[in-house]
Amino acid sequence: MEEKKVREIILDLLEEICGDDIIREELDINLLEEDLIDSLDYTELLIGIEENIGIIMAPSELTREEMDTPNKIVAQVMKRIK
Amino acid sequence: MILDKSVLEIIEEIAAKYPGRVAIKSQDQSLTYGELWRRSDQLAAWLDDRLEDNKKPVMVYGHKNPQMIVCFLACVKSGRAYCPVDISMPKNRIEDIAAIIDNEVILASEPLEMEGFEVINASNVLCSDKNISREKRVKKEDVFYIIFTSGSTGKPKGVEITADNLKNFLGWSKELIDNALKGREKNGVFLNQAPFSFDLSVMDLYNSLVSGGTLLCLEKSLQADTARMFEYMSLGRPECWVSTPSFADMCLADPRFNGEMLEDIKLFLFCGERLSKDTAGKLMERFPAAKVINTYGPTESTVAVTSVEITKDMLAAEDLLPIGIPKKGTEILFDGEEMLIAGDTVAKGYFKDREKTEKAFFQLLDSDGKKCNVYRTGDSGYFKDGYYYCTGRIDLQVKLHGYRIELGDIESNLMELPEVEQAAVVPRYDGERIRNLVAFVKAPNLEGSFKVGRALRNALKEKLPAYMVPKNVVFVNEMPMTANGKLDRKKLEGSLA
Repeated sequence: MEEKKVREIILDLLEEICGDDIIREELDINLLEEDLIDSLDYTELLIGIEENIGIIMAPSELTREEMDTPNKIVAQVMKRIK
Repeated sequence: MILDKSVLEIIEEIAAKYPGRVAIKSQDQSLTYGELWRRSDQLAAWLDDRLEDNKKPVMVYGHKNPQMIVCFLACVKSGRAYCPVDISMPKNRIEDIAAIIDNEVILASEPLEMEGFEVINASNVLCSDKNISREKRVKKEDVFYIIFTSGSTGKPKGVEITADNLKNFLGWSKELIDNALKGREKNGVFLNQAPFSFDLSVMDLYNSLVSGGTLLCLEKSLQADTARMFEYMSLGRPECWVSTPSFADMCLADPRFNGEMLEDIKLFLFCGERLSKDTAGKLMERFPAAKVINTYGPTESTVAVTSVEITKDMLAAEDLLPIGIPKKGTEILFDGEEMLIAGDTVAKGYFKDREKTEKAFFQLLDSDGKKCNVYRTGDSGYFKDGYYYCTGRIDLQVKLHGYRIELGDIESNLMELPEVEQAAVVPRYDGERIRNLVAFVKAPNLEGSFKVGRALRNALKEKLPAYMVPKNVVFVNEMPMTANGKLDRKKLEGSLA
């Protein structure tokens, strides 16, 4: 899957989870600090990635800091696709 | 105060004394007390001939045409309850109501097509100067009007208000208004915002009629055009304002809305929604000569049962604005947090709906051993330092991540923040599950950016536990309003889907 497509899917998921389109405008926004994502949401994000992209990401293999902005999340997923 | 005559007798007396006085006024029509009485007599006689033994309630369809009031009085003069239905109601709801009422005749002052019913345009009925016997009138325990309220689920419920309920309500509210308007002209003008299918209109309509006043009706089309509406209002010179707080907020958005534009206003009477400090404070500032009175009550207990004049001290206090103290003849009881209303204006029940009636109404013996109707309001509240306070709907309590949250509590905290004029918090659903809470905020002086939203959320965190802080803040220019002039929560919720 191309990075462009992955990015689109992840931004759609994040917009739904965070309820704010700010995540499209500021791709380096810190989702944790801005309270845009909590632990339940985080789990939901991982399930969404598995369902829509087919990549399984166990919560234990990643720290929150590795996944705290839209850009970082896309990068982590891309790393696993390649 | 207890009225010593029936509502119809009082109006009859006024019509005899001041036949030329204007009773009802809309944009391009007006009706005098003399005409109102004569026309409603004729229509009552016609109805009685037409319906004979059929004593079912009669649906009256239309908007703010003065003929509506002719129809209302004609029904009760002929011994039948009336059921007002406004043009703003959706067709399928009107059909539901017509089916529940189940009377073959419908009176209308606006065009209406309704299969299986005979729709009579009241002004086309040719009547001889026939009188109707006083004996026929709706009285005491008879149902005077039926107003349908939207059940949160399923079919609408018709609240049955008796002649005694209305009389007891008016005895109290007339005194409240008379006291507030001390030194008023005898034929004061009452402003009518609410459609007649919303019982807030009973406050202005009948208080105007029993005091020989003029009802100044604001039509729907006028409410959509502020400039024209203001012109009409200022020419109409109302003394007593009756509306929902949301409607007053809409007017307050325009700086022209003040004591210079409406120099006769002596009283603002609110009901139907929570009155915020922001709204009350602005009105007191812009209309220094007017009093602001908050009232509270559901349709099921005839418009309102508590009242309080808002003071500057209340605006400065920590609590919400109080709903005041109950009228004579009414007591507020608590079942947990839920407020129950016991007294002489509690409705008979829901029309032809025993199941829902039994769920919401029951009887108690009062201190004199007399049977007294009680209604479960579904509102939560408390009593403190002499006043009752209403904190919100029990069904506005939501459970989020296991916490029980009162949406109204979050809203009042938001509205206390500087620059926030209105706030509504609604759940965002994911199927049946509440995903999170979203705050809609009207704050014209704030830049509606994510950053400002974050600042509001941070300010809320100082006042509320974190689980109560809405996840998102959406800035709006105007809050959506329902046809009744209340905040439209369903529309806000829908915008998140």
